[in-house]
Amino acid sequence: MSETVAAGGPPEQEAFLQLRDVAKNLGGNPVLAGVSLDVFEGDLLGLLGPSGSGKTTLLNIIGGFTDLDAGSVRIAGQDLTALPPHRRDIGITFQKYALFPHLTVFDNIGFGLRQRKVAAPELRQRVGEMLAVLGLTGLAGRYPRSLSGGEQQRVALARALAVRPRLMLLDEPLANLDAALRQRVRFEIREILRSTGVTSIFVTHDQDEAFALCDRVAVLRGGRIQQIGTPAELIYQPANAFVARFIGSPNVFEASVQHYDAQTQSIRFVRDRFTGAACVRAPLTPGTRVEVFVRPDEVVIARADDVQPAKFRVKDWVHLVSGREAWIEGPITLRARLPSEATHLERGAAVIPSWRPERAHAFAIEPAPPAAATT
Amino acid sequence: MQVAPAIRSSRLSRRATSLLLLAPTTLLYLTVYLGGLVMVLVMSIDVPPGVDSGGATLAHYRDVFGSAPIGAIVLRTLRDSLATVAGCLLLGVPVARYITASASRWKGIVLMAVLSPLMVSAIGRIFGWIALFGPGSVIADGLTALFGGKPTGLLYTEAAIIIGLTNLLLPFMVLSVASSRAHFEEDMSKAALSLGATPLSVLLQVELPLIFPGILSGALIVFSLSTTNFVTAALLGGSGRDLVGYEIYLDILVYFQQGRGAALAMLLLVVVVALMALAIQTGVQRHEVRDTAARTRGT
Repeated sequence: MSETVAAGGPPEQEAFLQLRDVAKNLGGNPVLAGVSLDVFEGDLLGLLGPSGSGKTTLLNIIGGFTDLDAGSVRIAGQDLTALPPHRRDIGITFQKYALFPHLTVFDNIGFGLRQRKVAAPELRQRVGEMLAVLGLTGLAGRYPRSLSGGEQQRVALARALAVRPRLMLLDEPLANLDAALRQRVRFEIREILRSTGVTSIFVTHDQDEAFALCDRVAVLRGGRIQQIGTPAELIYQPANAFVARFIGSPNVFEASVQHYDAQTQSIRFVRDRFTGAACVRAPLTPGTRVEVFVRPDEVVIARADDVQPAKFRVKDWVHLVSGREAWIEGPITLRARLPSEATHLERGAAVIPSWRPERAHAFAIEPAPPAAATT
Repeated sequence: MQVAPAIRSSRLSRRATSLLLLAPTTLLYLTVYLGGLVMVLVMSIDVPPGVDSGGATLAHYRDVFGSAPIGAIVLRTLRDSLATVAGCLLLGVPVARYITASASRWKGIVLMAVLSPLMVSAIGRIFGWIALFGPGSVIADGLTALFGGKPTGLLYTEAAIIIGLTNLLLPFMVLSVASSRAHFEEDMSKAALSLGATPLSVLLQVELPLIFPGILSGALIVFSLSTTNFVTAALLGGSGRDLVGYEIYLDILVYFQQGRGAALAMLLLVVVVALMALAIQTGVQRHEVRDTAARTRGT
């Protein structure tokens, strides 16, 4: 079941990390149902999915902590399946950092080098380098419990990078940081991973983080990869209804197909006398029930004039940091975003919403979801 | 600030309440426990009847040190107690790890099973052992079949004492280690493995240092309970293999040498307290050294 597309990366290049049809059942339930994934050398890949989508299990399988039931994991052509975790040479950072509380920052960072029997002078030098790179030099003698969350996070990163692993796995590295720190740390992490050039997989349930940190993002749900692509591809060309719903908290409503235009690969749909346009991934026959997804910032609202009878009225405004969001009510309820300096529209004002057809996405409503898709 | 006095008085009354709640325990310890100890101390320096020297005497202590078998008894007590500590460590640490591992499904049942020796009456348990270890038992026949010799079994040997004490005191070790293992996260061992540590190195370099305080306190509890135990030793060890605890019991309740028994009890108390203080000091020092080092190097 590998319907996944390995997007990005030069096609002639052999992928550095190759997952093929990786499957895992836990207690009779498929946690991973045939995951295939290519990660190229130096890539920063995001693994994005809601909780229960199997992303942590996938991380554990790559790290060697969970056996797989079927499929294979290869790094640079080498099959990892039979290799125990301590011989995989994969750096991992954990959501709660999992620093060794009885060791100083210096000894935490030097732990991996010590396991590799690196001689003392070289160890000191390499730990010193990591301390400098991560701005931890003054903290070498401190114990983890006396560090702030951001500092612990950097120690965890330094500890994993000090052994120069061939692959880095980062499990929700920002989840335990407060919002203000999160913004800064995610760029720091990106910078550091970039400068070391290490191939990295970054697991998160937060799409903003995945988009800010990663070149490519794989969306996981119900143990299957739904789509792999750049952030722009996921936003503007969602592969299915799940991705469209998951990314960017769009307006969602049901409608039925009125007309399919093969040339533009778009449809006109109707919903209670309201008609609109949306693009589709496959031809649809008129009358098909579809779900339409359109993000609020793609919805433009204009004051209705006498020529076009108004079907929508402004119900309320919400102020957001990025602008104002209007709730408009008509045959459907829609959220539309306007920059703060936009013309004032009073509550109850008659308006007409519209959007560019390629920015709305329609998918046929399937009679019943596949069994593995329920999480 | 009109509210301040009200806050202060409520704070005061809260403190008074918590002190008041401690009072019964304090009273119990002062009268029954400390009072009992003082009585033993007085008995140990009390003048023996018939000797007319008035006041206090160290005769009982001289008596203890002067009697030939006491050295052997103390040595045997220390040896058996240390062996019991070792047995509890070897058996208890894996059990504690199992109970505290997040993935264990039977931990509740295992915990109950481990604690169950404490719920069986001492006499019942020990008579069971006598039947189990004694001549003619399965164990006795098995040992004879394996190693030859007389089919006397394990009863009245030091091995029987150590096995019995280990079984009895294992719950204390398990509970102590399990509670200290709360500081250990499974992710730490994953982190260590991913850094190239072998499973053995993870155990020795990460897990063991973290559960060390629990091991230390478990060892102290088991050690002090085995040195002072006398029922198990008396019934499983038999004559000629008695421990200090049993010797005290004999002196006071059988031979009516209260003075000598009391002196022996005081000596045992001093030795155990000294050993515990030493062990705690070692444990505390490790932490203090770390903290001082952290403060001086860190800034």
